[in-house]
Amino acid sequence: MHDLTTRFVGRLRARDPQAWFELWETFGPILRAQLARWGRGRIGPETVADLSQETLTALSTAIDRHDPSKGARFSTWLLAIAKYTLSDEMDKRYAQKRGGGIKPLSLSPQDDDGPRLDVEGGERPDQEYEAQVFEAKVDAALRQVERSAGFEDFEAFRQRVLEGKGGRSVAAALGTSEATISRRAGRVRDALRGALSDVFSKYSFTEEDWDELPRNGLELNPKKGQDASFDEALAEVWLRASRRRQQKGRS
Amino acid sequence: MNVIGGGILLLFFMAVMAVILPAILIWIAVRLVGLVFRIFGIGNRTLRHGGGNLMRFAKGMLNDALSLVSGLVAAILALVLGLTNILLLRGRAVRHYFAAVEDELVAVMQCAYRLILGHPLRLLGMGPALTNLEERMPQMMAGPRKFETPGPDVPMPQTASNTPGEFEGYRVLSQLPPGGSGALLHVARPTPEKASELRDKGVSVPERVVIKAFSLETGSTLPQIVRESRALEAAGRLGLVLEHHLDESSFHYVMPFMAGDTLDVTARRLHEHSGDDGLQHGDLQDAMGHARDLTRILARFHSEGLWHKDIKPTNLIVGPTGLHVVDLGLVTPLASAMTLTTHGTEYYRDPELVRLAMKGVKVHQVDGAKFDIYGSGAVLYTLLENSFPAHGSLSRFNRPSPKALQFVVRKAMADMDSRYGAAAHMTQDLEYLLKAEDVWSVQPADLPSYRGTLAPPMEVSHRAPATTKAPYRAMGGDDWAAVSTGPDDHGPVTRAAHAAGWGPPTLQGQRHLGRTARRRKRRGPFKALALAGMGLLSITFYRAAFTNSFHNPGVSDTASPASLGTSRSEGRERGFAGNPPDEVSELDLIVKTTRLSELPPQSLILVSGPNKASAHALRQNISKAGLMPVANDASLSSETRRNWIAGAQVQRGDSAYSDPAARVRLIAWQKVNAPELDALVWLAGDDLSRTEVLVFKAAPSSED
Repeated sequence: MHDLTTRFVGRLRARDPQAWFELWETFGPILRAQLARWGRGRIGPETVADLSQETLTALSTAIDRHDPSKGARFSTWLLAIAKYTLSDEMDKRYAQKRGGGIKPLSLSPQDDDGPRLDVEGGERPDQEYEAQVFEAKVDAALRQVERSAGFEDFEAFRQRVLEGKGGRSVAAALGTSEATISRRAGRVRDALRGALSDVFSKYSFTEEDWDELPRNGLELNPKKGQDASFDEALAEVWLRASRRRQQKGRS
Repeated sequence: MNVIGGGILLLFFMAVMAVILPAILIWIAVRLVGLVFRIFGIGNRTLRHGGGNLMRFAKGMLNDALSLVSGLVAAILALVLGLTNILLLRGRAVRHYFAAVEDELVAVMQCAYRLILGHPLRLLGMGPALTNLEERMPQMMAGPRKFETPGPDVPMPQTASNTPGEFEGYRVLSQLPPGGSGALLHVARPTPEKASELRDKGVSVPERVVIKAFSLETGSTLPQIVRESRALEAAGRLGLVLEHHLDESSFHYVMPFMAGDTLDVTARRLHEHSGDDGLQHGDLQDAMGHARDLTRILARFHSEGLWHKDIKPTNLIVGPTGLHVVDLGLVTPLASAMTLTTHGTEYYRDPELVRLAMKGVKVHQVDGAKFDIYGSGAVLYTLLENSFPAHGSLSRFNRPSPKALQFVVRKAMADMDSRYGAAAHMTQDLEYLLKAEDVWSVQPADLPSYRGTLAPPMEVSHRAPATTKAPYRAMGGDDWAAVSTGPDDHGPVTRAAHAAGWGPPTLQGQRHLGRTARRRKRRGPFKALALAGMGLLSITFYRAAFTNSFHNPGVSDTASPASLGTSRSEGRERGFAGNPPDEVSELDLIVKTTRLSELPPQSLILVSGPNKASAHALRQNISKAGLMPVANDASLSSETRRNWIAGAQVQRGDSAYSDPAARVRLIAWQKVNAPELDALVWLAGDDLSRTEVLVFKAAPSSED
């Protein structure tokens, strides 16, 4: 496992509020969406919001016991916690109704006392969920670069790469030359590759997590002339993420 | 009978066709004209506008004609079903179907109105007047409906302590839905005695008011009351609050009642009118106008030292007198010593606020005004997209809108450092776009904020005298003290901008010039020479100042690079060299710097930076100048020295030198862990010219 992952998990274990905020900012919306999906018809949106906060609280207690080097993907790990929180909530409700309780699902796959989440829950991470987690990581990298790059550099990158506008049109919009736009976009692209590496290091437990980058066309160590395909792949991911967020927000 | 029925149907269809056919013919004619223009390369904007108007007219006529027909058919069907249910004696179903008939007939009437009057008059250029009329009439008609269940329209007993729902000097008319704070909102009318009392205090009294009431008996909590009450005095100066009352168990304050629709409703209406291709012409102008009004109001808030903290469409009312900002539940003084909270509304709240709040940063340590600017960018996004920015600052524009306007949204929602420095700056960009001949052809590079031609924000006292203007008008009317929203008067900022030649572009060709070329064109050769000379002089002074202030602190009287934006006289005013105030605002110190030379002898200074050699050299110079580097202070224990140096290093972390969040962290850390420190020098590697001095407290003057 990457050193940065270990450090990040270490920060989470040390209850570093910044690390928790990063995790919440990046994956909070996905957790909310996932919990809303599972709890549809049974729990309202406000409970979902509360639950997703609780999910992070559950994470903070579970993280001491969980060893990410045991082979579970980051996304599976996150989902397991969410699932645990929801089942716990539902159990509490049923227990209130029946006047008794059942044992909540076990969090750790190694814990033989309770049923295993990914088996018993019957809710394996599906493709949409995996895609969301991947997009959230790319999103986090984009935000990181947006914060660190100059506004004009990022604006050039946004228009040229994310929105796919022509170099001449972007140059006219920003009152500069095409060469400058290309240079600025290149700077941001390089920074983004670094940020992607940084973010994926934090939120990847397995090689499979890492493989998602080249599988989606985001090569971190490009050969000459691969910038164009990187740009296209990035724009595609951004567009997909934007649409998904808009739809989720509406629903 | 059948013949009569058939005749009626025939007549009906003939009438409908009489409407539809001309609309189709007009549409075909417009398309043909458009085609001719395209073939012959006629690109005249006026003709295109005219063509666009005709297209909209044809499209509107066609849509409304079809809606009228479908509405009539639906009404007839609902009527038949209603009558059938009468025979079946199903009372509830009868009411339902007759209500549906009523709704359909209203819709049919609206379509008929637009077919006969609305679209033709708009085609003749009477759109704005008509829109105004259309907005006012429903409000006028809906007015009494709002108060279908009025409360007692009699004055409440004149008691000092009010029971919930009773307020001295006000007649409660009705209740509004409670907001998120759990307070009760009452619509009321001041009694003649109260109106006279308020007038005596110099406050113009509106006809209706809203009373926001908290009571411990009805479930409000003390922290809620404290939060709501802390900004009331300043809100009163803005005309937002007429008066307030607090006793042992309850608290209420009185605000002017703002009639109108919330901005999300307005945005929806604008988009319904413009269609799916984004806002067009008048609707786009309206949207820009609302955004401009909002930033003007925010500028006023900020100049009064207030941060609204919950800018979102549902807290903005568009009424006949303009846009109004409501809900003061989260209003916070910018200089508050309280810890930041994460209150606000997702999508309209800057995520950075949450990050800083989690760090435990105090309100006065951040620039709260910038969070309001983020909110206004998100509001402008909502106006343009009829949707919220689900992706934060990375949100994509899905509907066509002018790229310069998209740029304004992004600049408002950008990272704190890159964001508009003040709401007034955003106002200037919006003013520029509002005045542009064709907003679609304005490039982001033409905007005043991009060109660096922003007029400085207005200086307004934080302790302005109590306003004597009508609160209702003060929020958006012509009497708005500092920023008028009147159609012709665009306030001092814009007037200043025009005086300085910052008008929108008038030459088409100028837009296509590069930024540098445009600047060169404006300057002329003599100006360019003069500027070059001034540049050389500045560099000379810069170098001299740098050498003096850091290598011989206490000797130089020349401004140093570490005193960017702070002149010597300003330094005196802030207490570094002259008669100091007791305490210097830390907010200033985060963003401004001062010189080591202005610190009194023996000031305790911590030097922190990545380069040990530079730090050592600087410490020696500091020591020679009679100041006290922490490392040399024998009165401090070695553990304290070690802790301080390590603490500053941790707070600094790997942050870029210019990272304001790191500065905020340093200041916050110092306040708790090293209050004895007078200043901290943050070294930026070897580059001493970028070195910054963070001064934590005012030093006593030599006269003291």
